[in-house]
Amino acid sequence: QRERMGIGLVPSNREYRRLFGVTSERINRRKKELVIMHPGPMNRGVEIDSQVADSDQAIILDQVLNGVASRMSILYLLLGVKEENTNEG
Amino acid sequence: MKVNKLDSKVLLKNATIIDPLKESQSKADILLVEGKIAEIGKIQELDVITTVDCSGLILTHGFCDLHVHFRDPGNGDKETLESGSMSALAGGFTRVCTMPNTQPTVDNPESINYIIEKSKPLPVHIHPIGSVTKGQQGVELSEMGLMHQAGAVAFSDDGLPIQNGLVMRKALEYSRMFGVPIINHAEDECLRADGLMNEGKVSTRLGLVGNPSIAESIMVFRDLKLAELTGAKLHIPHVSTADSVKYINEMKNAYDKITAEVTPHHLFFNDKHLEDYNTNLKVAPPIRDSLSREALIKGIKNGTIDCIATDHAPHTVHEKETTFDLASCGLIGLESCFGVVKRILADEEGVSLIDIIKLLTISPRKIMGFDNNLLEIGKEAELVILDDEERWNFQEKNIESKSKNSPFINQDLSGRVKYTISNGQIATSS
Repeated sequence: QRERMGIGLVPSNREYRRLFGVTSERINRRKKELVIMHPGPMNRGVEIDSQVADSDQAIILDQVLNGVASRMSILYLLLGVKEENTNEG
Repeated sequence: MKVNKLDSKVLLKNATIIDPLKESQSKADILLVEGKIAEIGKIQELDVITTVDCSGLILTHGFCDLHVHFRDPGNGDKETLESGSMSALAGGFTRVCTMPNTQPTVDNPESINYIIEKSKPLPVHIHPIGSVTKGQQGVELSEMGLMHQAGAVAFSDDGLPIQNGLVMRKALEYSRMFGVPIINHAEDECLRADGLMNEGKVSTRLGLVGNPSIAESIMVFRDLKLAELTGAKLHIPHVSTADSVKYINEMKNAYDKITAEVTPHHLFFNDKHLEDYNTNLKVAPPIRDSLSREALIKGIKNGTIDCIATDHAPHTVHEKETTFDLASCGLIGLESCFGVVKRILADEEGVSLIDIIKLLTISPRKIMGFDNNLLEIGKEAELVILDDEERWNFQEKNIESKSKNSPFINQDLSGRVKYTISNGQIATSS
């Protein structure tokens, strides 16, 4: 998330983790099971702990894969390719 | 001044108790048991070890100074947390907030912890203020979150202004998460330049480079607007100019999270007093002209200025006994505070004693979020007992600080602290 932070807004990694970090402890406070997502790239141990990112609740790898597929189709459409009609003679 | 541990049972007899929170005044006795308030009223206690005769004396909440420099860590020759707390007790203060411009800067939770741990056995409650930026360089925000968790009560780069507007904005936005004020030393570095004293007729006559009022008021205006924009709490330290008072007054009508303080020396002196080049009057922001002083007094009377804070700034002899341009800025103020403020505001300007007490007690405590209900059964005794009628001449021997840089030496003051009770100890002035 470093690329998204403005100059000097977050004082240090340890402060960010203490205030905002997605840790197992914080996840487990919730009664419902949470689905964990992350747009990547991950800074393990800063905004998200490895234990959370690699857990069964996390769908991050699927998210990234789906993200690639979504982008492919969007680019494909924007490049002006028409949908093929299989019934066309 | 003597500081002793409170005996297990102490009777404060026949005091005129002024409660600034409940706005009441009554004659009564207070029984302290193990340092806590056990009873208030007409008390006949037979097995009391110590009785303090408070006839003719005022008893009220211990004073709170939200702006002091105790130079700890790093400059123990000027002051330490211990000597600073002695200085505070002598002035009737039971609670203070220390500024982080120490060596090293208090810009991380470890340093906050150092102050909290070191001050635990001391008689005065010391609350550390953390710096806004790392090393007070004005570039990167410091670990405000971690410092707040460790016990920081506000954030300030005091001594230095936060010159960069974006950094000030970010600091205000970030501070909202913790609900504590940002305290910016408002003096535009560029406009201030090499100014040594207030820019005006006197500086011209004395041949000293002037520091114009606008250097302060322009930054006060910026900070007020940024606070309003970000919705953060802003506390303006040592207000010294008429325009600053004006802008604060106007902004307070539109936005309510603004507070401001004024120092005793800005209420007492004007720039003509620097005619003998007294380096103990070299301070930042500088002592301004008499019109500015009048505006500050008006600002107190109409509530624009919320409280008194001393900006107690100890310096060693060699930093003050030098040419005016080379001398360090700052003066000590804890011991003389009440006598100065009572003389100027009460005797000369007609402000009531209870209003003066409020400026030193409930107002600063409210700004910092400290408990204000001190005259309650069960509470730890945090009290000051003073003689509001005593006229006295302030001398170097009245100073408990390690440093002696006070411009009030040989000045006539009105009102004197007799006893200060805090954290299970009692200070008796000599």
